[in-house]
Amino acid sequence: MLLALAVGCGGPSDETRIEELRLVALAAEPPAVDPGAAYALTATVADPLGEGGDLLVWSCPPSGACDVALAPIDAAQRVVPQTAHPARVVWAVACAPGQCGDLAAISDETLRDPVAWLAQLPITGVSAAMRAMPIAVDTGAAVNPALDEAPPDWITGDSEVGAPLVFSAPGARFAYGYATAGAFSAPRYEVAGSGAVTLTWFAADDGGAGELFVVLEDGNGGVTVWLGAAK
Amino acid sequence: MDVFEGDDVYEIVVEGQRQEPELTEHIVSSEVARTLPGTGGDIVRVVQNLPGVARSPLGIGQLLIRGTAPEDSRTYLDGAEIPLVFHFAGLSTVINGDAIEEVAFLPGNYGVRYGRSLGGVVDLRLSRKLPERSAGYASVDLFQATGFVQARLGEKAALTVSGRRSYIDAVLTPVLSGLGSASVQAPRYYDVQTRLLAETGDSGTLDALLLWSDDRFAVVGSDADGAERTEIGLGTRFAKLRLLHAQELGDGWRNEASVLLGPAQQTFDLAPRGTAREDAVTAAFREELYRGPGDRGVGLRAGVDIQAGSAGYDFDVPGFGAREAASVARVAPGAYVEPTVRIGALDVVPGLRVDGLILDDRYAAWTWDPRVAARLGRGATTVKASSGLYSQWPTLRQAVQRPNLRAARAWQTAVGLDQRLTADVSLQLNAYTNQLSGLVSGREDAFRFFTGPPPVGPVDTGDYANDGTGAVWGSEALVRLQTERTTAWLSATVSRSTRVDRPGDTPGLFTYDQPVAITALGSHTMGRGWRLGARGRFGSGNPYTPVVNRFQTFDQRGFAPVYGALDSARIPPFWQLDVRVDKTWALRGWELTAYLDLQNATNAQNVEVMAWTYDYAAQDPITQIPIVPAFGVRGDF
Repeated sequence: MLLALAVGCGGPSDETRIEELRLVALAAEPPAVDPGAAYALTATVADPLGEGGDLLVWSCPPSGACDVALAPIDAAQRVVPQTAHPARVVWAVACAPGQCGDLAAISDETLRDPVAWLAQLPITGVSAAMRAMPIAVDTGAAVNPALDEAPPDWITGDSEVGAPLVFSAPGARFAYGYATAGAFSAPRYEVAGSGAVTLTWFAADDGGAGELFVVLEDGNGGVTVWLGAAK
Repeated sequence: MDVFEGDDVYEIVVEGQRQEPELTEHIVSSEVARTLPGTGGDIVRVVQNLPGVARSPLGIGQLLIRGTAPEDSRTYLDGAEIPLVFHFAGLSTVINGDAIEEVAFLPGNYGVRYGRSLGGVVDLRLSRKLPERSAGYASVDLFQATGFVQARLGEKAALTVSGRRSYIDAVLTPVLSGLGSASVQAPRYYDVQTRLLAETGDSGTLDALLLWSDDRFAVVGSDADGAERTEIGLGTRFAKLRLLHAQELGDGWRNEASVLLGPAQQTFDLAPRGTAREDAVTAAFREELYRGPGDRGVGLRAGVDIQAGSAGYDFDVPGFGAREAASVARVAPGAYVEPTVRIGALDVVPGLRVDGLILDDRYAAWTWDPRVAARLGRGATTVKASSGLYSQWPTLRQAVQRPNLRAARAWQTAVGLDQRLTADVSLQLNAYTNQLSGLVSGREDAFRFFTGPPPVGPVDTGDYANDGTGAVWGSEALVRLQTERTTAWLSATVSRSTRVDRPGDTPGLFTYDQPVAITALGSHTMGRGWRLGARGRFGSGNPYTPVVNRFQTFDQRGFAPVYGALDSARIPPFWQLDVRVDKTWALRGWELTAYLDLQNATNAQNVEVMAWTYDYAAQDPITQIPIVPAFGVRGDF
């Protein structure tokens, strides 16, 4: 335990590598709404194996029918309409083909207890995530962090010397990097008060191409996602 | 009863000097413990090799006795409860083993002089005899330095001073800090014991003992301004003054009165603003009147056991809910009576213990624990049986927050056989059951201090309630060889411990359920100052709750596990071999001893605690500490 505590940061972080289907972010627009108001939820999915599959996003009010959206995983980002419920919790599951059964037929009873449902699903080829949906009356009007400055969409680098990815996102407090090729130097970066943050990405040893995801969060429900490509 | 002495084995029936033994009582002398392999010579760690004791995860200092939790067992100093038995990680007992004459291990079905617990008892017993001469030693080993001096003060008194200081921090801290950005201050502890023992005439003794123990551990980092701060800090400390007066009253009667008083504190700090502490200032008074049955056929033990003082807690750790704090006056009165009726070779010992707990005007409750034991036989064979009730109060926080909680109860029953096979070899067999009820369930999400790795799995977040029940069944065997030059034993335990946390729940395994535990241990004096020893251990792995899936929590940017059935999987069996060699040189006026205690000599990579990768995609178990060459030298004068 002592040794584990003592290990610090250094080169590429394994925690930033994505090697199978994974949900990366759930960003809401607007990031805080009143109960009953509609909002758009953008689910970002990394699919390094290119298998595709289905994305299910839902939220369930304490009583009444759940708000469910089902979409194919054919792009990195998918926008699904949702309604803010008093329960405030939004769930999403990305499933590789054949891993989750018939998602179109899934019942509200199952969706109301997602942990019990997940216990019956395989651990590979399934990525589940949840987030709270801030209520505007609690947080006031909110906006997602804006990207004033971002790296080019195509990034090159090598495995020894990391490539710096410079962002300016006023309002953001933390940045999280994920890569389907290579890795970032840390899973989490602190954003300066000015909104500036620099992430370091290391290319894979074999130099393979892949996708880069940088999630910028304001710590209050606001989320902005940058997508890039590594070559 | 088994007595492990340095050079001899004897039955203890010397009335007036020794009391009648408990039904199942293993006694290990410090003389024997000092050279046994695999324990670093620590007297209480030797207890972990006896039947009825399960191995604790990571080999740390937990006493897992007969299928009960560490907090269900108690440690005493001459019958008075002490707050802590081991320094951090169980490296060493908080009292120097050489200040202790013997340790008595009572795994269950003990008499009414012990109470307030559902599990076992470890009683550290100090010598009541003045040392024959002034003596002392100094020693250094891998973990600590020790000094010990006992001096005769005239014909009727002796003074003993002992102190230890660990230096793991001095060795490990620079190494660990060099590995990363965080600065780890490895555990450090020290303890001091000062004792004045005096004969008071009329076969009486007066004993004044001061105990002081302090443990600290910290991970140091820096805040946003670069200033050094404690990221994680743990501390336990206590100071106790014990005054004891023992008096032979004549006609076989003996009276013993003691008071143990002083503060104890446990603290936890988590940057930037998390703090937790538990503290208590307690005066524990005991007085016991005893006469063995002897030839009269009737004996009696009667006593009072009263704890009084203040106790409090203040838990304010983010992530564990709102701050919880309380400070109360605490009184725990207790009294007991236990006659012994001797009819030929049969001893029948009925007993009754009454305990109370009063916390200000917030909580008041009483328990009545009747117990009965019988022992048949005086020669090579003794058959014994016992049954009785045992009670354990809720913790301070539980009682303050839920004043309707009552004491948890245990109904313990045991039968056994003590058989002397030869002059040197004895056999002890026991079978037991421990039926638990009224166990306090709930609030597992709240902050609490752990003596070991926190359990992993789903937590019960409901309110505290006496909803838990449990059942423990087991049998134990101990074969012991004791000769002038050899100490050896083989202990085996087979048991099953289950729990039901809430009514209607499916019975599940207890977190520390270990169906099989076997220890073979031996130490032999070779001559020319050489002594060789070895210990082999095999045991079932602890249950754990498997992770069957996971999901991300984007609000915390982390992964959360989806657990399978509670404690439905088990880590692989554990086995370990330890080897020890001692060499003593007799020099002019003093002795020098060097030893090497090679722990985990085969470098077995046993799984100690099940853990998972950061994303719960795969198991990433914590394995045993590699081979530990614990070595030391000691000079006796």
